[in-house]
Amino acid sequence: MSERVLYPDEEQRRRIMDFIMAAGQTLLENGAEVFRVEQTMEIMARSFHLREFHVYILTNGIFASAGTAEISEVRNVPVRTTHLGRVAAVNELSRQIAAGGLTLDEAEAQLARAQRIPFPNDRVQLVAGLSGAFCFAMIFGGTLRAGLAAAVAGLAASSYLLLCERLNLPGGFRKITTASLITLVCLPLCHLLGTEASHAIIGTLMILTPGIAFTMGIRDFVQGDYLSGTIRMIDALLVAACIAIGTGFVLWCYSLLTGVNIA
Amino acid sequence: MSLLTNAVIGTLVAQFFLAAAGTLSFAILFACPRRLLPYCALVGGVGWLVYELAVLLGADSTTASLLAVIPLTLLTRVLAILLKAPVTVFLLTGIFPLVPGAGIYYTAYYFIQNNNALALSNGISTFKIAVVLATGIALVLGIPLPHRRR
Repeated sequence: MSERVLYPDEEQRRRIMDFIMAAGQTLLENGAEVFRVEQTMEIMARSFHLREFHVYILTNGIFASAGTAEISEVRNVPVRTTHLGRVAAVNELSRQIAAGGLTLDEAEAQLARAQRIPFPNDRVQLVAGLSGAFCFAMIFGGTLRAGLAAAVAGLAASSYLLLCERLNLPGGFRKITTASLITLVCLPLCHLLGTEASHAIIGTLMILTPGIAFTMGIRDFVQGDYLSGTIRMIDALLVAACIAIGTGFVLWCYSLLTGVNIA
Repeated sequence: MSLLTNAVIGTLVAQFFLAAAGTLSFAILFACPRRLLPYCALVGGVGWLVYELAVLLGADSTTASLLAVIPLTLLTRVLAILLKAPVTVFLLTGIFPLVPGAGIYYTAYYFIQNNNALALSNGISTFKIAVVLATGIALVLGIPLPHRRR
C-alpha cells in the first residue's frame, strides 16, 4: 500500500497531496523563502509520481492543484515564526525522498517529527537575547557600559516577549510595548552609567527590527515573486512603525519629565 | 600596509568575535540545529569583518555591504554543500549584522517625529543597503554549480 507506485490511485494521490501541502506549510511557516518552498514541493511531487502538480505560493498562503485539477488545495499561512531547525529537517526529508529511499508512510512520520521540533527552552532564549543585545550595542559603536545596559534591556525584553507568547497577545501591541520597555530600561541605566543611550537602545531593538524581512522582501522581488515581496515589505514597515511609536513615546515622556531632549 | 596597525587589527578581531557572538545569539533564537550553530557564527563574523575592512579602506556603507555580502554568500553555499543543509539556515543568521535594522528604525522614528528630511535620507540609504544585499545574494546564488546539476 505504502510502496511507491508509478501510477498512484485516487486515494493515494490524495494522501500524497496532503503530505506535500503539509511539508510546504511547515517550510513557509518557519521562515523558508517562497521559491525554495515551491521547489521543494515540486521535487516531492515528482518523486511520488503525482502528475500535473502546480503550485503557487505567497508569503502567507499556498495554492496547489494536481492531476488536471482533480485535486486542489489551499492553505492559509498567517503566522510566520523563524525556526530554522524545522526548515533544515524538512529539507533533509525532501533530500531523502528525492534519493528514493522513503515510502509515503515513513515520509509522513518524519514530517510529523520535524513539525514537533521544539524551540530552545526559556532560559536559553533569555541568555541568547541578553548576549545578542550586548553584542549589537557594541557593534554599533557603544561603549562597554552601553553594552551592559543593553544586556539588561535584552534580558528584560526577551522575558517580556516570552510572557507575551504565553498570554497570546496581539503582535502589534507586543512590538510597541517591547520597544517601550527597552527604551524605558536603557535610558535610566545609561544615565546612571554615564554613557550615551542610543547605541544601547538600537542594539537591543535588533531583537525586534525587521531587517531580515526587509532584505528578504527585496530578494523576493529579485526572484520575480512581486506579490510576496510586497507583503513582506509592508510587514517590515508596519513592524518598524510599531517600534518607532513605542520608542518615540517613551523618549517624548522622558524629555517632558527631565527637559533633556534625546536623539 | 601602514593602515593595519596593531590597534586596528585588535579592533577588527574584537569586531569579528562580537559579530560572531551576536550572530550565534540570534541563531539560537531562530532555533538553528545545534550542529550548525558554530558555522552560522563563522558566517556572521566573516561578513562583518569584510564590511569593517571595506569601511576602513574608505568605502561607504552601501559599497561595503555589497563587498561583504558576496564572500558571505559564497561561504554559505560552500557550507551548505559540505554540511548538507539548506543555504537559508546560514544566510538568514549570517546576514544579521549586515542587515539595515537600525536604518529602518531611524527612518520610522524620524518619520514619526515629523523630521521628514532625516527620515527620507535614512530611508533612501536603508533601501540602498537592502537592495545591494539582495542583489549580492542573487548574484552569488545564481552561479551554477560546476558539477552534477540535476
